[in-house]
Amino acid sequence: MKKLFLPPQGLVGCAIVLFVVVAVAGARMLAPFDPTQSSISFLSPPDATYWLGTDELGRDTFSRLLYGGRSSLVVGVGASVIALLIGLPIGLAAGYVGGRVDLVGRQVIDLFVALPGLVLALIIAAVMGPTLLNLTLVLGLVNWPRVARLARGQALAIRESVFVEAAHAAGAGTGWIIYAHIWPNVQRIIAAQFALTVAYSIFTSASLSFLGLGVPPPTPDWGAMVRTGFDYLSINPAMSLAPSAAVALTVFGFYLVGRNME
Amino acid sequence: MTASAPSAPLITVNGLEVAFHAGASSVRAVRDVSFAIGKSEVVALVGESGSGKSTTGLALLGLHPPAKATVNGAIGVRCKDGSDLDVVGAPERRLRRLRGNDIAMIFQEPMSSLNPVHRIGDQIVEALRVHQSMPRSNAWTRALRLLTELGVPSPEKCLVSYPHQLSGGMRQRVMIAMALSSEPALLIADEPTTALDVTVQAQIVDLLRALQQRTHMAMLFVSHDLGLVSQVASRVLVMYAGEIVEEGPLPDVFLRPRMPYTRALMRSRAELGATRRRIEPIPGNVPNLARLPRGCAFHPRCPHSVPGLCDVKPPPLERAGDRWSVRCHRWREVEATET
Repeated sequence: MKKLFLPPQGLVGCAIVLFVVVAVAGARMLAPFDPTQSSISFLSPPDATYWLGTDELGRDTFSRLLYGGRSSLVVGVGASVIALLIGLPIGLAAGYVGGRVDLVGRQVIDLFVALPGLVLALIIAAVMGPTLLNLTLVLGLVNWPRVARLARGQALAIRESVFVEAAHAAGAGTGWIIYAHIWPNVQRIIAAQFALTVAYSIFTSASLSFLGLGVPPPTPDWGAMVRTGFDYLSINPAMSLAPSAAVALTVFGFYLVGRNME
Repeated sequence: MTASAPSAPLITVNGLEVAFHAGASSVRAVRDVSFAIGKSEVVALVGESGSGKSTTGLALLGLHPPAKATVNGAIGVRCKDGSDLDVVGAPERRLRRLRGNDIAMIFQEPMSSLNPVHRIGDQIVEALRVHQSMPRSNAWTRALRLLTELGVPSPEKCLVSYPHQLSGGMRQRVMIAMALSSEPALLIADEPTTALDVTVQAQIVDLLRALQQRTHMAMLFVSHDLGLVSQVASRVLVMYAGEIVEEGPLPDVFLRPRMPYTRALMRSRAELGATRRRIEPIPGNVPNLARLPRGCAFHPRCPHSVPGLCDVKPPPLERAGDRWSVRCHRWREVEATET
């Protein structure tokens, strides 16, 4: 298989993503405090003990920041996997088979694209209840049409290429042509879309958490931390700004990777 | 030039019609085409772009999607397993066994006929395993032998190369190897040399001819170059605006064409050594298939056309000698004139 060649900006993106993943995955070892353990110093500003200060219940913001990334990353990657699992087969089939399959596929894709993702996610999350699993499912459901639309367009273009016609003339069936000729040629662009979907899902999940539809407390979560810190912005800005920066950095990292892969 | 008489034809095309749909209207790209190809016979199909020659070639494999084109008539194929098949109306499952196995095809564009993301070896192996169940390692060895037979220098290296690493001639050799992998009874070569350099063209034509003589497969050589096909084929079909306008033995047709269109085609060729002859382009354009002229489709461009006859009555395909047919009202008069 071909090497995953990336331009410098893409490598920067990779480095950012790697940095975030290591920090979040190694939270247990890196965090100086228990993220759910209160202390007597409430809303203290950043100092040598509490690097990013403490929140209104006296919990260490830095430790919560590290642990809080877990749900974001899990939701982001999980939702993208679900989006891929739904969107890819539908998109490839619609694009390659064409005709009535495409007509139906296109209508369904357009219908879902037309629905405002955040509002839809908001409604579903509110109805089904805010758990990590529901959040992941909801965001997967919101994101699959983009993947499907992209896969459809690519399949449509590659279907017209001579090597597909040649494979057809050599007696290859539809399934084989999609597997051996269409899929390898859409891999890279789908991988790029995957990274972008992760970025989008993390952002949306943070938004949902901010609105109170994220992971329930006391589990730390970036979106929820921003929301709580929002009320104490004038007293301890780091409480809200640190998780904001974490979301921004992570989204930016995945975005750089995705954009430069295309 | 005595072609082995087609006693039991390999493929018999009868009244083939292909119409493409474009919105509400449809375009008849191939009209009432009938011909037969015998076992190990090499037939050329010649015409300008848009004359329907590639459309005919694709129809033989049932490659026109029903949603886009209507195919009528009959295409009888004697398959390798002894069964007979009418390609028109055959189910897709059955056609998949025909394609590549009984009839193989190579295309004009060796640049884009190979999938850029797979190694050459994997693509030949794929072609081998579509129709024959064999282990990968055996298929790889077969692929190596095929390339060696086709005169590919360092075939081991070629097998692990990607398409962009090969020259056009090498890629066309790979395409030929893939087409020959299942030992088809008929090879359709759709302008196999058009995209190649002249020197490479000659190599590929020589290669195809040598292969044909060794394997005794039949060949339908689609081209716009009468001179080129007269080196390979024993019989030629000339197409114009979707119809066969002349059919006859080679090189006789090449030396003394009877249909005015074939003559014009001959005169429009550049020829080595013919210093005193001008290259004469055919005046006018290929007619729009959606709006064909009345009468003979060639009459607006024909120097021999007669008002009241050629622009009124469509000419039938007339016998003009032994295994020679011409679609022209005036072929007898035309024949008397200087070529």
